[in-house]
Parts: sequence; structure tokens; C-alpha cells
Amino acid sequence: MSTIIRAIIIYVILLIVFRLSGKRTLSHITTFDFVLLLIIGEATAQALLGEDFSLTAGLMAIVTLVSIDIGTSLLKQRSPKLEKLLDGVPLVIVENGKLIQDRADKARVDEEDVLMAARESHGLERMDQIKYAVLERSGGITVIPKGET
Amino acid sequence: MPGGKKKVGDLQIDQDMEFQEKSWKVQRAAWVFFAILITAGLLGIFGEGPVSTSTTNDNQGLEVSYERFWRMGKELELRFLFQPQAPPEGKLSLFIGREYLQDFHIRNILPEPDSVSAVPGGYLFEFNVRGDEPDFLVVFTLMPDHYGSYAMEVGQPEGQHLVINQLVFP
Repeated sequence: MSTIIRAIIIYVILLIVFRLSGKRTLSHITTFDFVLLLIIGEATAQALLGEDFSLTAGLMAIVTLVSIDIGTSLLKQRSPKLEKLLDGVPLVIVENGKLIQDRADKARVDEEDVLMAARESHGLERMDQIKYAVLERSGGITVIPKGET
Repeated sequence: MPGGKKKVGDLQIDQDMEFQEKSWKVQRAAWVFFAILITAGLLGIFGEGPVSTSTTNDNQGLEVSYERFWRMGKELELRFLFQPQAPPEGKLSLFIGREYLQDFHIRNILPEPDSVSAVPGGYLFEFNVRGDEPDFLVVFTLMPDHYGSYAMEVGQPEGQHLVINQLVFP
């Protein structure tokens, strides 16, 4: 019983903390971010299971977490408002080769991040080859090159 | 325009600057909250820190060191320092209220009590002591099994009882 309640509480806490920390956090994973993620996992596991090391508790925790996640995705599908609240909204950060500076600053993205995404996805070389760059709700940057209509 | 097909230039995208600005504001507020939480944690609002660790005494030779705040499932030490005015004549007694010990499991007591008796409202622990130096330390190691706020009644059987408040976080 307590494992299920713990799982629900932890799901909600993690959801809130990561949502509040902002899009860029842990979205583009560097080696250090990966290590950080592992440590967070470790800390979570302790709180999730306490001193109960039984197979049953582990199974219940996994089933509960996956079920809440399914539930959340179903709710999000029904309510665009909730989806916005939980996932945020996409943000245009480059328009016609120009970085929209104040938005980029607030979203903690810089020109280098955009150029990197442009190189990765389209092999673009310069800012002026980019028509739009969007910071997606997933935290990744998508790039639309110029000259394609 | 909820959920409508919005456009930015040629881009069909559900950008919502109003919502975006709002969520940035909430995020900044949350960062401040995180910082406050960390500071409070360092100060000991969840145990182990200057605002948590404290001592009190009954003015009759019993001093209790305890934590105001603690966390469930983590071992906790209670230190009882006896400095009796009169020589103890081989025995010291300590009363602890029943309600408290119901939710705090005793892991260890140093020294082992010579006897434990159930008395009205709680338990009486009696310890063998040697020597006339008025300075004896008894340490209880406890494990809180529940969260909540607790009032521990503690004292010497003939003296006035102290009430010690503890808050245990989940």
C-alpha cells in the first residue's frame, strides 16, 4: 500500500520539480547531466522503496509509475489546457535568421545551441541559412532551413 | 484562441507567448523557492542543524538533548544527562511517556537499563550507576516509524516532567 502512495507522490514531485526547472534542464544530455540523472534516480529509489526490498514492492512501484504516466497522457489528450500546463508550449527563437534575444535568454538557449541543432539536423553552416528555429516542448531545438517552401 | 491553428510567419505552431511569459515567472519563483528550501535544510528545518538540535532541562539535574525536527525512518538520538544534587545511591530513574514510545521504536539504550516497568502513562527506566560524581549520561537510540508531531513527556519520577515537542517529516 505505502509503495503505491510513495510512487504517486514521487511521480507528482518529480513532475513539478522538472517542470519548474525549465525546458533546457536535462533535455540536451551531456555526460555530466547523465551522471546527475543517475544520482537523482538513486535518491528517488531510496524514497520510493524505503526499507522494503521485496520483489512485490518493486513490481508495484513500476506498475504504479507506468500507470500514472499512461493516465496523465490520456488526460493530456483530452485537455489541451492540461497538456500546456504539464508540457509547456513551443517557442520560436529564430525568425528569418535572427535570434530573438530576450526569448532565448529567458529560455536559457544561445546562438551556439541553435547552430549546433542546425548542424546536426540539416548540416547548415550559418545563422542566415535558418528560417525558423523552435524550442520544442520536449526541450529540443528544431530547425527549418531557408529556401524550402 | 485555445488550441486553434496558430501561425508564426509560415509556421503553423501553437506558440503562446502569454502562457510562456507566465510559466517563466512561475519558474523563477520556483528557483527562489528551491534556494529557500536548501537554505532551510542547511539550517536544520528537517533535522540536524542549528534550528533543530537543542537542549532543555528540568532544573532538577536532568538535561535532555534532542532534535526538534527529524525524518521518518532515520535513527534518532536522545541524550539524557543526569547531574543530581544528591548522590544517586546506585540508581537513576527516567520516565518516558507512553504515546511517544509507541511511534518511536527503541533500537538501543546505553547503558542497558537494569529494569523497565510499565507505570501509569508510560515507562520507568532504571539504570545502575556507580560513583558519586554527579554526571551520568544515558543515550537512547530511537527509530521513528511514523511522521507527525509528537510531544514527549519525560522526567525523573519524583520531579516535574518536561514536555518535548518533535516534528517528524515523512
